[in-house]
Amino acid sequence: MTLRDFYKRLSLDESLVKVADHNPYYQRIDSGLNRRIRVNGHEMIDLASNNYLGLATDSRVKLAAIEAVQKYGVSLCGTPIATGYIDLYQRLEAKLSSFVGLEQTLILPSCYQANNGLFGSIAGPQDLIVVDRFAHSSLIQGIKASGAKMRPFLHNNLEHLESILQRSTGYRQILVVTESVFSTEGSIAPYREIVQLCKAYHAVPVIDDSHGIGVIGKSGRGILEQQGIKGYQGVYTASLGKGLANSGGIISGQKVLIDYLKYYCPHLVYSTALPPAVLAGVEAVLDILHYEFDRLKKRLTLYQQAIYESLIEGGFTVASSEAPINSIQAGSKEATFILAKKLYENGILSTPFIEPSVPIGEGRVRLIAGANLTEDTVAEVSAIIKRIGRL
Amino acid sequence: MNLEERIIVAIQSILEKRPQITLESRWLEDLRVDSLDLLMILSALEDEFSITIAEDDFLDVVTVNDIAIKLRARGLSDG
Repeated sequence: MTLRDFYKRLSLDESLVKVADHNPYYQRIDSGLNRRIRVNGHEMIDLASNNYLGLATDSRVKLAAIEAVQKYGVSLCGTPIATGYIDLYQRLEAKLSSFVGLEQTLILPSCYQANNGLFGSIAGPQDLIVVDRFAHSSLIQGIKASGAKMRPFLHNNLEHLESILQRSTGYRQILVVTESVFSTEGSIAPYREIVQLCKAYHAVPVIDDSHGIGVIGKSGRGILEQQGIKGYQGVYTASLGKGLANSGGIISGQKVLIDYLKYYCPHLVYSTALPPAVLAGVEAVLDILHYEFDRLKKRLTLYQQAIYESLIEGGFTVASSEAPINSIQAGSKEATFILAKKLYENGILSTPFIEPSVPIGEGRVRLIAGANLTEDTVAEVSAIIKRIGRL
Repeated sequence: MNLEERIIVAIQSILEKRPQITLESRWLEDLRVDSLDLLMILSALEDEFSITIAEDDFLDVVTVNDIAIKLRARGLSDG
């Protein structure tokens, strides 16, 4: 193969963008996640980011980040195993462990890396990993990379999961993997029941709580709190870039697991540690949640419900969600892009999902109205949605 | 049930919302089967026929009938 052939193979199919006359991806953002954001120079309403609690631009979080930069600089230029493990890093590990209610925690540069690195470190070809069919790419790719046999189960379907567990014998270890909040659907896993099934079949439960941490549970501590799961013996991962409004990812669990991963998870060992500003930012968010979660969550729920009602009134098909997410079932990838374009043209930035992020022909347009929006802004969004629905 | 009918029932258990499944149904065009659906279907077939299936051997299937042909080639029959 010539060099020309190589690059020709990589060229993108732009037919979908041509049909929709719009590419919703890689839009240039010219501002922070303020009440109004600037996109390609235009003022818009952000219903696309995962800034659930609206804390990404909170002045207290920004100040904590600035102070960390002043104390430590912008980077420790090393992995956590070398120079990246500063006192702030260690303190945040402890705070996050306490927050999610587990023994110990590792902090990685992203939850994608956490999920990618986890399975290759703890599983291999002798193992079986049973995973929810709608699980995030980071989990699927991580499982594939481990070489373990993968068996997906139907989304949130306990009966199907149990039938697989019943028939699976001869493996060194079985892991059951799912997410807490499935953000493309807005659905929440019946995790307490999944943990019980794992116990019955001696499987290790693994949960990615990326869209749950800082968002669900009585005090925002995520899926384990929300479902009243005590004494959790499994593995927990989560993003620090959604409800917790910063970046990075964590793996939490028993001390023996975390001690092992500290030396055997290459995604941790060989990645430059998260910068001090981010570590301080997460710490500040945890402090804010302690006092303000109730207030922020009430607003988040109120906004989600208002938008849900406007979507129904506008004639959209939208899943009823327990999470503060509205997911419009848009159909084909073309229809999904066209709906995202209509929203964009009316000043709303949304997140469209097409295959392979969702099953073929089951495109979704996700709307998340963060707690930093005002009631007036949400009323404006509702009016726009109803208007678009009537077109 | 013959082998083909058992295959269709196994596929139906996974693709609950899809249109009617026949031997002529095409994976992509008719059933919109993606890679994870395929894995679930292969697992369902493993359970149904008590066999082990290597995923790579089934990546070239186009229709439901192609599955039947592959399974018959492995010595499976209606019995």
